[in-house]
Amino acid sequence: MRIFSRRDAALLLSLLLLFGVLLLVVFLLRGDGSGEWDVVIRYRGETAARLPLETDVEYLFECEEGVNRIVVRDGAVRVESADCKNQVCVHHGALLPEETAVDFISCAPHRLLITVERRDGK
Amino acid sequence: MKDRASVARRVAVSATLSAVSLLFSYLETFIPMPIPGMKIGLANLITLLLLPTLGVPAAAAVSFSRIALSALLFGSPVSFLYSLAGGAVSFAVTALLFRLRFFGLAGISVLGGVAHNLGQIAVAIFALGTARILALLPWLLLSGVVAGLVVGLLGAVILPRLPRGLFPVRKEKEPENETE
Repeated sequence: MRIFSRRDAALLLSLLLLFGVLLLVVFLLRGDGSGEWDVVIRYRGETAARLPLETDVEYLFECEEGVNRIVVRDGAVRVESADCKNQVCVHHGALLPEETAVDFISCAPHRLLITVERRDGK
Repeated sequence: MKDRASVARRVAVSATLSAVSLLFSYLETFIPMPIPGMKIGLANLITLLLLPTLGVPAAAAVSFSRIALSALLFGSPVSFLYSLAGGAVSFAVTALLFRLRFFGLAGISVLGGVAHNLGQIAVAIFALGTARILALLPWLLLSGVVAGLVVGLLGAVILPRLPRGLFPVRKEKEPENETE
């Protein structure tokens, strides 16, 4: 059994190159944060709520899988607590509008997705 | 497919390795990672060792029992779906690459790792109902490469040291050796 040949080296190089290109694409997709933004909360792919990002509010999201406490404060949104095992959404921290095109908070156990999107729908 | 190991021996080895890969899956949860959910995929090492020795059916059985038991013991129905998608795609790619004999163990393992992450991202797009997760694609690609490389090199160290009586090397023509 061969372990590492020139082909493997070429494969590694091309995958690393692909990583660089993808990273660049994601970076270029970042917005500049100007304009009006909504927090969009989706459950199982359907929009469950839309909250204006400039209004401080606490939103309790409940579904059959569990509960997430979502807090909008100072133009950013984050999940303050959740009753799931992994706490990925809580540890994610705040979502800011500048990162809107590329960032999101997801809670896989509750099939919940939180994004920040332009109000005019663009 | 014919080898010297008796059916009973194959079953015993497969069962033992299922337990070992289950243990790997569990131990891995204690290795800290920069992104939650990111992991090395040590259990994949077992697939890498089984495919060239006991063959596709044994490797598939061990992979599937590990995924099912791991979800049952430590996971949820959702985590089962994610693992199954990643595992199935990764297994198919790994098995195919072993057959093609185009890449070495390192390349096979790397592509298996990348395939695993692509399978999971596909489920995530479906489960969460948005393609925005694709923003994680570069990082999932990189972590698949690194994890695959680690597992592949471990496999390269362990594979020649396996007891031949329990792990008969399947008789297939070795192509011309390239630079190792």
